[in-house]
Amino acid sequence: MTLETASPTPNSAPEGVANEVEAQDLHLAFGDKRVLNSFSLSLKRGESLVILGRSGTGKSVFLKCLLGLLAVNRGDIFWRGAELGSRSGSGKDEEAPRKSYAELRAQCGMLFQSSALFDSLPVWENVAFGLMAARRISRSEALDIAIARLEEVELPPETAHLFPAELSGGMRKRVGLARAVASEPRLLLFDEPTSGLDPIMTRIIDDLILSSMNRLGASAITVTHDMASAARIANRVALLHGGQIVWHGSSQALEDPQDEALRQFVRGEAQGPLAVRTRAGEQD
Amino acid sequence: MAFNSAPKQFGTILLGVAGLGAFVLNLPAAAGRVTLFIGQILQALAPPWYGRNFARQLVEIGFYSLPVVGMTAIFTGMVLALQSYTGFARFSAESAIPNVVVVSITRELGPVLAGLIVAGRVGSAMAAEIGTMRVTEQIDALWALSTNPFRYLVLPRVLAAILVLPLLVLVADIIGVTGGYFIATARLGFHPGTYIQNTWSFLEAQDVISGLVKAAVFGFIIALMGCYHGYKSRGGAAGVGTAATYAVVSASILILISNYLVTELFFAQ
Ligand SMILES: Nc1ncnc2c1ncn2[C@@H]1O[C@H](COP(=O)(O)OP(=O)(O)OP(=O)(O)O)[C@@H](O)[C@H]1O
Ligand SMILES: [Mg+2]
Repeated sequence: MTLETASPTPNSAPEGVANEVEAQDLHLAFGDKRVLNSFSLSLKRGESLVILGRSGTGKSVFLKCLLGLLAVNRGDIFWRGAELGSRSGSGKDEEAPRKSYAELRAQCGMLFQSSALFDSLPVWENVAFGLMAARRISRSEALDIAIARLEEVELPPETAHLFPAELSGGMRKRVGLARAVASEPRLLLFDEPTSGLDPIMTRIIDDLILSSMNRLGASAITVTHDMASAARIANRVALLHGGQIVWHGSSQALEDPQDEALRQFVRGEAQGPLAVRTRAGEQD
Repeated sequence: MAFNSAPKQFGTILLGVAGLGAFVLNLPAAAGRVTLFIGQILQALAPPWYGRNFARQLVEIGFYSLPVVGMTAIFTGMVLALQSYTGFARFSAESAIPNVVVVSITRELGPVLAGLIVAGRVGSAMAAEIGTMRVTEQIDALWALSTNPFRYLVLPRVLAAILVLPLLVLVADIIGVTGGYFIATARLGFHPGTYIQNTWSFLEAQDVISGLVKAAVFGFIIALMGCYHGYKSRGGAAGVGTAATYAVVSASILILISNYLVTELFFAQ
């Protein structure tokens, strides 16, 4: 794959569209539990965005919506200026371009919060899965690439032939990470990449995220609860609460947050605007 | 509930009736969902093919079912010879035993028993495996890695089951008839040569073929129910357990219903 960030390739957005991803006014409810409520967010080309938010606010749900794994009740998601739908082609009005989720997924790498490794396949087949799905490469070639990817997350070559059940939680996370970046995607989605890792490994993973972004010219959305790691990898930070982004801005704000909600979140204070809603029907 | 005010014993009866009613009312919706599921399988009938997965399923469904299907068949054939002997001896029709054994096994008992056994062994395993993949987000991960789970997981299972069940039934037929032969010659005093000769002369291609067609239909049903209930399962370990149960129960019932329909198709005047 060639690395072009400045000049648009045939695959990239039309001139002037600087947003890699844009979510507009998303609504999503499970039964009568509203999770996303007028959720809007954009990710600029080449940007590293970190989404913060309390547990259960819908961060993982948003990432799944973005990939089309969950259907939103209302709202639109745009990728490189084209609305996403189940099929590509022209949209509701004939002018608007449309892209399919399949096209997006082909250029996107996702790390699931639960790692979601295929437990019937050895580690190396997990890592090379996307590669083998996208191109016809031989199994020995795939094994070599997988071992190289595993080294980047500090897993020795012997791990390649183990099965996911034989790994520790943190090792599984790292294999998931290697799988997400293996096919050199342009859009990276990481759901808590460093949860369950020691501080040294957290540092290594943060560096890996940054270096793969630089190498691939990729854009990334990372969900994390680790403030130090957020400060290291983010250009921009967004805070999700009550189904929508209540604050977003530069990652510098994490050091000395002016916004009341962000301050409460970063300092971990019990009292503040991010209180848990105790009764249904309270304001969002 | 509306019938709370009714006398107690009526309440219990009504609960049963309500359950039955809910079951009947849910049938069309369930049939609709299964039809949509079949539609998605048909859409997946395009390259890339996952030959490895297909081969693995052939072994999993076919080879590993051989012992249990063989055991079922041999004892069924043996008991069939013994039972028909004690029955037929009452009106001196013992000579019909080779006929009874070969026709019952090839037409009915071979396919139905193999189908039910494989439904229990393979249908539940499919539902549990795919269900676990669903609740641990592995199905989502497949989509995310540009792989259609219908093509990668469901199609190999369905095709392998359709192909392998007739082979299993053929084996069951042979073993079942052999079981009958053993009992007839060892216990009931039949002459081995005559018994084999009678079996051959009663054997009809249509009986065997109808059994194999049944087997293919049963294979489709088993894999479809296993994959469907697995794919739709939710809610952790309990959800996967329920999916496995539903897969076996629904496959078994559908096997018995479709067995009647195929028989009607082949042997109705
Ligand atoms: N499949 C589902 N069915 C029903 N409710 C769901 C489902 N998935 C998520 N939810 C609900 O949606 C809400 C958001 O879940 P989500 O997993 O996005 O949280 P999160 O922000 O990622 O939290 P965490 O930081 O703990 O991972 C939760 O309250 C959860 O109960
Ligand atoms: Mg989450």
